[in-house]
Amino acid sequence: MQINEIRAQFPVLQRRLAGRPLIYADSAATALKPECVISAVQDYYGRYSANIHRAKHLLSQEASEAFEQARETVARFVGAQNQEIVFTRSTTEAINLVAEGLELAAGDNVVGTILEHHSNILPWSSRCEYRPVPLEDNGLPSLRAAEQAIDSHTRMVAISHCSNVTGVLVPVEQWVQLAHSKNVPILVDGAQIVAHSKVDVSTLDCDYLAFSGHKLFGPTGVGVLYGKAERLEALRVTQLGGGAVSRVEADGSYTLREIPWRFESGTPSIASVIGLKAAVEWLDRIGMKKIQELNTALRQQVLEQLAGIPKIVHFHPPAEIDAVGTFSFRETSGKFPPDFLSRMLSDSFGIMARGGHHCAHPLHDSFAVDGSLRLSLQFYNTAEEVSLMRNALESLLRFTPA
Amino acid sequence: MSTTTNPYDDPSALVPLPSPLVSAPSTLFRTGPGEFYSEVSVFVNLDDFNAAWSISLSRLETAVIEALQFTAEAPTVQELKDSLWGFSAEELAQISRAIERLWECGLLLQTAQEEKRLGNEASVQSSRRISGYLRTQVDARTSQVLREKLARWAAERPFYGEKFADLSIEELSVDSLSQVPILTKDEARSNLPGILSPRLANYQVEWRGSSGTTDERFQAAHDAGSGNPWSGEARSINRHYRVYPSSVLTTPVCSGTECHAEMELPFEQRRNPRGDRGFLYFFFNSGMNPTAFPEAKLQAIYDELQEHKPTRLTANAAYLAGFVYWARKKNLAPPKLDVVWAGFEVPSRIHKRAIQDYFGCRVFETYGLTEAGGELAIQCEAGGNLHFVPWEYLFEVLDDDGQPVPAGEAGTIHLTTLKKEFTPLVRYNTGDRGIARGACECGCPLPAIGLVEGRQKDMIRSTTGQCIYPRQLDRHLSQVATGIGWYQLQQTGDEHYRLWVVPEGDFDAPEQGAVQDALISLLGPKAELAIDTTRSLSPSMSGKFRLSYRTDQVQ
Repeated sequence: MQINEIRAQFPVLQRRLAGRPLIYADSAATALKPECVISAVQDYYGRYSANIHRAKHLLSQEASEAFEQARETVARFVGAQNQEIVFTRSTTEAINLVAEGLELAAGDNVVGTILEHHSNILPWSSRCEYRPVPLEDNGLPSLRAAEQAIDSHTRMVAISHCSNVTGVLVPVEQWVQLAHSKNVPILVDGAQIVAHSKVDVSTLDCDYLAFSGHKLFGPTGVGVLYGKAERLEALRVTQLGGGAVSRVEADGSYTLREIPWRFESGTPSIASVIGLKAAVEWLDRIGMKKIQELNTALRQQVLEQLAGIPKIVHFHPPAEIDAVGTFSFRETSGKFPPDFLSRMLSDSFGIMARGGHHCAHPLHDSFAVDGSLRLSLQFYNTAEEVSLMRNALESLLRFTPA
Repeated sequence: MSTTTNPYDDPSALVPLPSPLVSAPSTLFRTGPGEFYSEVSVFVNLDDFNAAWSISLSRLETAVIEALQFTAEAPTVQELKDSLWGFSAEELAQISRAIERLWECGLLLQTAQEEKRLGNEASVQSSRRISGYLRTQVDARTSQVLREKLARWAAERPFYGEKFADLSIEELSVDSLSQVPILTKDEARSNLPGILSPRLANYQVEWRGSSGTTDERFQAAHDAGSGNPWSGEARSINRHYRVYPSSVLTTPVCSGTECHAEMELPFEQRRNPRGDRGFLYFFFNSGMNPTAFPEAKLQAIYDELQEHKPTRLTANAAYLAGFVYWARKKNLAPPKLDVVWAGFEVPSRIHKRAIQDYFGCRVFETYGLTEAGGELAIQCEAGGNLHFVPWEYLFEVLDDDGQPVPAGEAGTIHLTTLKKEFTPLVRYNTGDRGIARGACECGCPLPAIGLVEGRQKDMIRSTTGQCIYPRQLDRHLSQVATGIGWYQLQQTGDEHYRLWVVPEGDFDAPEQGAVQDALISLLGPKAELAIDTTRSLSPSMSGKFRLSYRTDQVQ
């Protein structure tokens, strides 16, 4: 599939603002949705809208089947077994589900890194001691520091596969090895990686993987928690209700269902799960290898076109370090604060970019800045668009001191 | 050259003023036909606390004396007379007599000495001005500024160079302004780099953006720390305009740089945030929904009003009304205020009435655009119109062809920001509906427009297709409305409307019936109107509280 064919499948990319095409550079926040995902959601509501698992009528069976097919599709996508895939609302809920289920206590600790998203900090830090390791000069979190931080009270290593701010790709297989060598489970926050590269948990060997449907071109309102079956079995179920149990007695005692359903009480976001299935199938049709190639080419554009822009300081890793096309920076004089630069890029150039701290206060603190402007690219972006981003930035930066 | 002897030639003979005195500008102005007023504002600095008082006198002679008492830097009588311009011959004679008497009395300014001691020459100079203009002088000055600015912007800003290529700028005047092409928001947004000052890099810049969705917002550069965009002349429109200390209660997101609501900053950090010498501002932490302010926030507003003791409160009336309803229920004594300025959007009469009744002070309106620098037009006391200083911010009310509408007729408000160098806007379509005005009965020679009717996008239509703007709707509804705290009228189809009401008091069958009748008479006999009560109403994303809008069209 050629890039133009791919782009043609995104209705948002057909939109024009004041006569100019829209350039979407906020995929780290949420990816755009291809037509097939939108249709799948519409099809569910229009043709077989029914609750799942709870009735034997035709519509319910159709919906249940589509829902469980989605589980199978997602499981295959990450190299897992069906029962190892739990549908949640989001990555955040997936990580919280693990943190709460582990029954962490005072005296326990969790080792993380300074580049984590708040959603991979707070579930741990609110329950036990949290130990973030710093970055090395190359932008990667220090494995050596992690080795020193892990002790006999470490209950989890929790790390992002890819930073939502710098775009750096963390060699998580090394972290998995380290954690397992210390008999500590590891949770990988895969929110930023699954839409860029193939992640196979059967080879990665992580204990948990959490990611969001909406960053994977699917609808909002659905997240995924992968957990090794034995790990999920051992987690305490903290959200009880209909769907999580196979039997409830008059005195309130109950029998839990098997994994993964015991973690999915209440009516799930059925349409979103079905939409996610469509997204994953669509990615399969294009091929993750092709997607990775396109994203690698975009990362090269970032290095060539954006990293050299004068009058900015950026936080993207050097060329020799693997990264995706996520580029965060600040204008050095302070004349264009990130929020306003974001507004100007949007209003005057049709470029949708995000200003702020991107839910990563500790990382920005480590850079001694209070926020950044982030351009986050996905394989539907083009080299021409990166060039337009550069031109737009330069046309504004000429109003800053030399 | 005057030969009048200055009785205080020897400055050492002066009794020193209290050392905290740092500034004392004053202005003499008209408040209505044949009425004069002087305002003398004395600003002092006591350690970290700034304060200001205004002394106001209504008799001309006393007013002149007061004005000059704090402004002259040992000037001659002739110099003082020369500084008077724009008054009629009769007025000038009256004022001159007062000056002479003042001189003879030896009431000389000590303020100027203090200003000099502090090295504040600019303040000394500006404080010597006595304002007053004839309309012809206003137009002449505006035309001159217009030509100068447009010529410069065309020369140095690529966008305006192209836009004004066919324009004979040197022949322009306020009367021939319609030759200048209109500027749309889309155009301004898309060409921002071509509009910005080429000297921007040399200055500290503050970005201000109008809030809202893509179709209405626009980011503009402002001179950081410039504070209020008005010149001293603006005070001559309404004596209450510059009264300090001042407080602001607005929407939580009216501007990314102005408002502090979302941040919930502590009291001290919201006080005097501009740091202007003697100008004491205070920003209240606002809330996302004025109809559902939490008790703690309302109590905090009350406590902070008592603590800060503002003389003037600038507020979004929909938000301040929430506070007033709560304070009334609590039987809280009203904090003392001289004036409330209602801005940010068209205020409902229901809210203005409630505010006026509770605080016991007058409510005036302001009009402005965040992207152009805040309050740009203010309501006069006598005529009730929105006046502006045209050589700084020039408003026009235009028809769909870009031609001025006759006085009394409605059109779209366009703005030319002659004072703004960083992001000048020339005949910028504001998207607001206004009414053209001729000479205002208040006597102020500065031009005026009528109170703003509302935003184009908030317009609904009657069943016969007539446009109805929020102000018109509100005029109609507020005449009969009792028991309404807030309301929003949604047009859901060509002949279908739904009025949502947050009651404040009884809003039962009789009250609803009166509202129903009033609205049907406005919307047309075919109108299908449903009236529903609700416990809260949400403002729009920009925080503005829309009185009306259509739900059957993309907003």
